[in-house]
Amino acid sequence: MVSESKQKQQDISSARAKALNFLRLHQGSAGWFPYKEAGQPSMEATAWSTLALREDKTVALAAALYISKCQNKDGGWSTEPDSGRSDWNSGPAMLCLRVLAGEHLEIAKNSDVKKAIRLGLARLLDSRVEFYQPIARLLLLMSQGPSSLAYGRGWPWDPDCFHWVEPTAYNLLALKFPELPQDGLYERITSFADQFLLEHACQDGGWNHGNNITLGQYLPPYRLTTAEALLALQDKADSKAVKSALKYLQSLEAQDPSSLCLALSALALTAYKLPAKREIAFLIHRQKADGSFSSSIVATALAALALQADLDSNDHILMLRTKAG
Amino acid sequence: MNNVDDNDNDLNRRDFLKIAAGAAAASAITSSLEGCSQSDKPAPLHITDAQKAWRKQGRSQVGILACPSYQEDIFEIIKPQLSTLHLPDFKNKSVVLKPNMVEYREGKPVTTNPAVLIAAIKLAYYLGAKSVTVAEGPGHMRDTEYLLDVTGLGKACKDMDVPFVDLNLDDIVEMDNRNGFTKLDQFWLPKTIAEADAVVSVPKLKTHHWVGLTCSMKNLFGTVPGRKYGWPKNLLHVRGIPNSIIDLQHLVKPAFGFVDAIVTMEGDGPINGDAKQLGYIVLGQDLASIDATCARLMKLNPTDYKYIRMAGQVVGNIEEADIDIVGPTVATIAQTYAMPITFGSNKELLKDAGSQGS
Repeated sequence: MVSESKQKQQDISSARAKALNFLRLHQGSAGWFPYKEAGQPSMEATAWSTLALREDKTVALAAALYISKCQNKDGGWSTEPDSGRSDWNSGPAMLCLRVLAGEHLEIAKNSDVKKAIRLGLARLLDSRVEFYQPIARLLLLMSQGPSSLAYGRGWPWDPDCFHWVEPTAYNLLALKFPELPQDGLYERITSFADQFLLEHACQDGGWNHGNNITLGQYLPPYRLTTAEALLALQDKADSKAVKSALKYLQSLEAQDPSSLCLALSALALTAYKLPAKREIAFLIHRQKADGSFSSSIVATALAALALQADLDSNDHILMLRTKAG
Repeated sequence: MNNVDDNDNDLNRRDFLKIAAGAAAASAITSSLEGCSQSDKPAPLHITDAQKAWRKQGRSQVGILACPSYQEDIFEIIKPQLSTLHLPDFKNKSVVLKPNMVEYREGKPVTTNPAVLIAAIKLAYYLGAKSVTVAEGPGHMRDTEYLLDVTGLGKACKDMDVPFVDLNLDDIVEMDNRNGFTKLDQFWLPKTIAEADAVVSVPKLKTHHWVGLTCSMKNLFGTVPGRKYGWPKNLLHVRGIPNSIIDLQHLVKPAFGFVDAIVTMEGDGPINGDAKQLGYIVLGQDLASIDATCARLMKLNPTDYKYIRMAGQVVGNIEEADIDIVGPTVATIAQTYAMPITFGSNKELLKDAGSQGS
């Protein structure tokens, strides 16, 4: 007789296998994935779907080459090839390339991939928001000293815009997973972005999409953005903001809002070695007969990752767990 | 950590910079709010001949149809009143209805009511539509599945057997915007919008803390794809909300507006405000005249709001004398709306909002 826990593990494995099969069917011939069935290429969907399928070397190699080929001259990526300037999709693309290079020697050795990672990392450093023009920064430095320039700042969705929680979380994850590049500069850059997230936590825990207060009103957190910020702040587990956010996320375990939300909640909780049984149970219940979890392929890819994260496996394959400090 | 203190520090830095370096030191945050403020003086706009050519010629008609609640079949209530309206011909057209589903806040009338969306679907078919699609790209939250569920708009689509398209994740096409006000040479818009025969704006009437009110024209922000511009679509703020509103009118070319002005929002709209019963559906083919009329229903002067002033020059009619109202006289049903604090004298809060990137 199969024990209850073993049965659950089998259910999770089976759901994951079905999700991965669904994803495989949607990979374009050039290695990309769309947001929805029969859609155009999407860099974000390509990144998350490939991460979910990364053990399949053929899929991984095709996607890595596709992502490398689609890199813009400035080192970033757009939502799809030839769709204007580099945008927030640079974070997921970089995360994907770094993970694939870490897991497949052939990808790591590929000169196009190596170049893409090098340029992509430089791009992440250069694409943060600029609050002050050079002359203003100089004036600040001269009048108030170096500490005046140590203000939190993250990344925008689109160049020349304000910084927001989600793109900052994606880019931080891309830099921190599995660990920061060995260069002090990255440490400084991520510390400013960490600071931005930590300072913008909502009053009672968790994160909104950007502000925690506007026009004198405290804003409520969202489950999704909280999970994303938590994934990016695993090395800040001792901070008050992270502890409060985890409490907030755990307080929602009985709610079943959407596949995307459940998947990211489960990923965030397992990254902190917290149980996500109810989230996973809800998620499995949402799976459709074709293996998908939503009309969005990104949601299905994240669900597949969350199901893998919940399996009793070795730490090193638990997806999105960074080597926290 | 003390967020309020941190923000105060930001303000001090910004004040210092302004004093020390003048315009050269203006921050990106402050510039991001340019064009958002209500205090924009009615300076003459520089409008090119190409932009002037966009403007609708002739008079406009706006219908104001009494509809006290969401409990009834709204289409059946308004149907007898439709005969006197100049309605568009949707015969054999693929029609896309764009409701407002920007975000969810429990107990707040943030989104278009499902009963109004159902009425709009019925109206589109009544006007001969070959197909009807509901499409929206929520501005603040990327979890569309959740929003569809919690707002009831997903159920409305299912009940009416019409497909829903998430415009944030839709395929995108490049649109030429060289004549636009945002100075963005191109805009990426969802294929579903670009290829529709007719787009109908189905907004919720609300106050808006940056532009005064949000109605049929501002609602088109939700056609801008998150997959390119993010959540929120911050570029539209950075390039000036009024400029972006106007550019989208010319890119999307909405055929019709169908406004949920039954339970509206006053105070700190468009998210944190309070419900206010008005009890009407407002509709018409000229979105400039719809929004100007809705402003008057809120006892606001439409020309006090920059984007409506701009619309009066390059979209359609905003002067009362140029709009034929079908329904009650506006003055007899207009109500006084509490406005957001940004439209009062609290300038400190506005400065704080700048440092928060609101």
